[in-house]
Amino acid sequence: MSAHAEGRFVGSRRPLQILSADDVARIHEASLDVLAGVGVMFHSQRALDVLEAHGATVDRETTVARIPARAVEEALATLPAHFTLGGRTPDFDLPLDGEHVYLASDGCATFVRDADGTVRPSVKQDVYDAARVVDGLPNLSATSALVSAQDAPEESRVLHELDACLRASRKHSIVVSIKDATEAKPLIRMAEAVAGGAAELKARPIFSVILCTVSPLHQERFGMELAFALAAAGIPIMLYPMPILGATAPVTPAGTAVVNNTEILAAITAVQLACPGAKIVHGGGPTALFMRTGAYFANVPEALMLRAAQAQMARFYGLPAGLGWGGTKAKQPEAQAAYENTLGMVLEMAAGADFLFGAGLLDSVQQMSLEELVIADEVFGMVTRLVRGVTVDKEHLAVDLIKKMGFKGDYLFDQHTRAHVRELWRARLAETGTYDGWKAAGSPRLEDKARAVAEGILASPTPDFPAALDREFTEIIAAVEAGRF
Amino acid sequence: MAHADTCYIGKRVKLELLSPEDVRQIHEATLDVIESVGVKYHSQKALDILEAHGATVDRETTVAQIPAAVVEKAMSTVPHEFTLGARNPEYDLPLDGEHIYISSDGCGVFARDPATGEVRPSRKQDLVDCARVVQALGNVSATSAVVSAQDCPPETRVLHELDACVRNSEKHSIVVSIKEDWEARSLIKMAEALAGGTEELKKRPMFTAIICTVSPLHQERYGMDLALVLAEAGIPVSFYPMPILGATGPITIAGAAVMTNAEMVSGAVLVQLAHPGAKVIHGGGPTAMYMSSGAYASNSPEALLLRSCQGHMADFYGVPAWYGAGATTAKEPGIQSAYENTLAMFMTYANGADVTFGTGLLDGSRILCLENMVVDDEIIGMVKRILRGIEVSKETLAVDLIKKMGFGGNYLFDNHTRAHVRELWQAKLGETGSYEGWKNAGARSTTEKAQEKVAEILAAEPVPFPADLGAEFDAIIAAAAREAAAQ
Repeated sequence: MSAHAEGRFVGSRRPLQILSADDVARIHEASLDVLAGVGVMFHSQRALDVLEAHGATVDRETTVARIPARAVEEALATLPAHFTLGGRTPDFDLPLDGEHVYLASDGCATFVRDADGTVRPSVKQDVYDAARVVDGLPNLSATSALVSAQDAPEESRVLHELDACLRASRKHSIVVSIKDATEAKPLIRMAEAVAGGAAELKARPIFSVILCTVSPLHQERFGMELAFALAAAGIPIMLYPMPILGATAPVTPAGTAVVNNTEILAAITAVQLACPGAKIVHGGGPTALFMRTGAYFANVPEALMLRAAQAQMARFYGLPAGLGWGGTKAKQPEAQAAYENTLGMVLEMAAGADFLFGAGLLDSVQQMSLEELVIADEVFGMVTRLVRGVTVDKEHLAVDLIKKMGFKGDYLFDQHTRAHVRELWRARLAETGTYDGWKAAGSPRLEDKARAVAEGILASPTPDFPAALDREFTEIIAAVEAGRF
Repeated sequence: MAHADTCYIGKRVKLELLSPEDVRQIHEATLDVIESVGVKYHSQKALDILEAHGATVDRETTVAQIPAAVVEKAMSTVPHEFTLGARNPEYDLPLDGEHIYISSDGCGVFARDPATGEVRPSRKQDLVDCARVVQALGNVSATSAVVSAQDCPPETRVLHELDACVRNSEKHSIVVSIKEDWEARSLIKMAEALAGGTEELKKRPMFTAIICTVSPLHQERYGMDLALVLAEAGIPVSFYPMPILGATGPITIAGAAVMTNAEMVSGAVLVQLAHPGAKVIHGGGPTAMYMSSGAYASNSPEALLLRSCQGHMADFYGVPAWYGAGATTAKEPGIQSAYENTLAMFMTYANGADVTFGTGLLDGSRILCLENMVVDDEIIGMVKRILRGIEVSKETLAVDLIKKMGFGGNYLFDNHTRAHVRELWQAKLGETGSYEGWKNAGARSTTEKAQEKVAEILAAEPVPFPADLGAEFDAIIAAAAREAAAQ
């Protein structure tokens, strides 16, 4: 067990049931019905080959595969229930076993909100800085290209982004915007360099990849072909449907749950049949449409409930749940960002999610804000404690102590208090003192304190990055840019 | 639609933090503590009643040790459902486990000027303003003495506080800090005037009294004496333990749960023995201590988990549950108050609370901040929607529609979307548009928008209050002042 994961342990949970067991079964049945009746458009002949070989009815022209229930069941049988995400250093390995909870930074915005409120296009240095901050925050467990490295060449941008993440942070990385199966190879090469070889990478995948499905009922060609390449290398794949209620899926949450689940099952089926045992995470970031503005919104109750439902479906199928989180519409670090993201966080975690993706963005995942990373770290500490729940045993019930104390409130100085006081959660960012003390300190705002924490991390020494890796990364990227990879 | 219909969540989505076995252990430990250590009642009247029903009573220490069988029997007469009355019956609040409500908080002593951030002692006008904001906010269901009316005479202050609440809002009221017998009788008179008589008040109690117990294991003399008077008049009584983990109770959550439960149950038992069927509520606002500052924290995870335990215990006894939530430690409205109150509300309701008490204060329930109520109003709207859960039916699963649409994303213009689009939650406060739109509209923060909402509410016409009731209230308060002067 890595040192970092120990701090993220919550033990077995009794998750919130947003759906009854009957509801789960009905969504499953409805998904099978849609898979067999309408099918899913795969846009990939290779995916169709695999599915056809396992009994799907395939139309090569439309690329639709109608998948029978038995093929789905065959695929579900080979899904690994537990696996570990590798950190750049093993201290940050993340077991996904249902008993640990993690928070990752988000992806992939194109703007950065600076300390003075200026909003500007993002560059590679921003990816690096964000990863540094993630590295320094104890409750964040994985980095990502929080913003796009828009100053890097398009053909190697995703490599520059992983390069920045791995150089700046010792934690696991999540890669989002791969567009082409050819990009997978150099990424895997970089990860093999970190892990120490192909077999080592399989045991400790240094990065995982988010693959979006396209609602309603499409899998992208490059998505499927990438999935096969990544699965073969042991890289975990987070399947990530992003239906919009009322636009690309039914407006009723139950109906969108069916679309969501059908897309996930279709992708699981293709990937598992092609690579049995491939590591898959049940992801997803459903949104709802704001009819008034036409904008879509990740943090409305309907979208949040759907994520809780996804966590339940993930448990039903026996795979880890890594859900979308954090897509506040707020335009600056402030109350709206706090209440929206906090509600999503506590709900998704209470529903049994293993990890959440992602912290650090504002304005519907368009603007990076380092303050938001720091605030997410604080709130996730509280949520982790909440999810860990209450221990009820003789020592914690403390009936003998209650009897001994009787009507005197002298608990503070008792041995029992001393023995357990360190278990109490401690605020790092929030005000916990007196009003006068706060005034005397200049009435600091929480967003300013959060900025100071981020800047403190950026001002501290960067964690060591091995020279050999430095050389290898530089060579891989140069080769890709020269068209030699 | 009656107000309560908008607070309906049905059989809620529940977070089962404790197993049935955990609940049983806490219950048994509670019985053990009440029987072997007992509770200090500080009231000879309470001791008379308890002794008559088989408790072992020490008149000098005022400790009553109550056998488990007596406790169990008393708890069996607790009503599982009742309705809180409001001046306007449209705002009556059924407590039946299928509705959730939030009220304004109590009892701060300062008010914060929204423009300057300056903090000054509270006065009656602050209660008036608060009641008007409560009246206007769709998701806030009851008023309270959110701050103390410190410009009113101490002996009639609590009457002035209820006066301010009910004159300026048609919603149910919550009374805290009653200390004297004449206060209780005068409050009941005011409530009878509102309800239209003694019997009517029993059916539709116009206010609820929160009676704080004192940890560890004390019931205050006046708390007990008043509970008996109020229970007889049909006023619901919420026993409200407020232990501080590691100071006035065990530092471990399960231990503090035993103690809070023992205090709540011992209050309920007394009332049930004297008036079987009296309306009691499982309340409480436990806090943890920030060891670094010595300040107490009502929104630390441990305090929230303790409320979760209480929610399970209330469910076990079948008693309505009513807990503190919203008492952020933040010193100004903003990020900290938003995330703390969100966590508190979600956890407290997801673990079974019917009511949370409440919204509108900062700095650990000390400083009135009306704009924070506007923010909490938005948050609880979201929480309500989530706890109502996902309806799964043929119509909502929409498999036929999914099949019809196939691979084209044209759901927007379908009849099914039109038929259900109004069910979607709508933001009232939060930004929902583009960054440019927000910039062009002045780049206002949520707090600023909430301040404008408060100003708008206070600039509008207040709800009318019948003149005859006003005169009756004045007379009741004047009579109470004379009675107090004669004491």
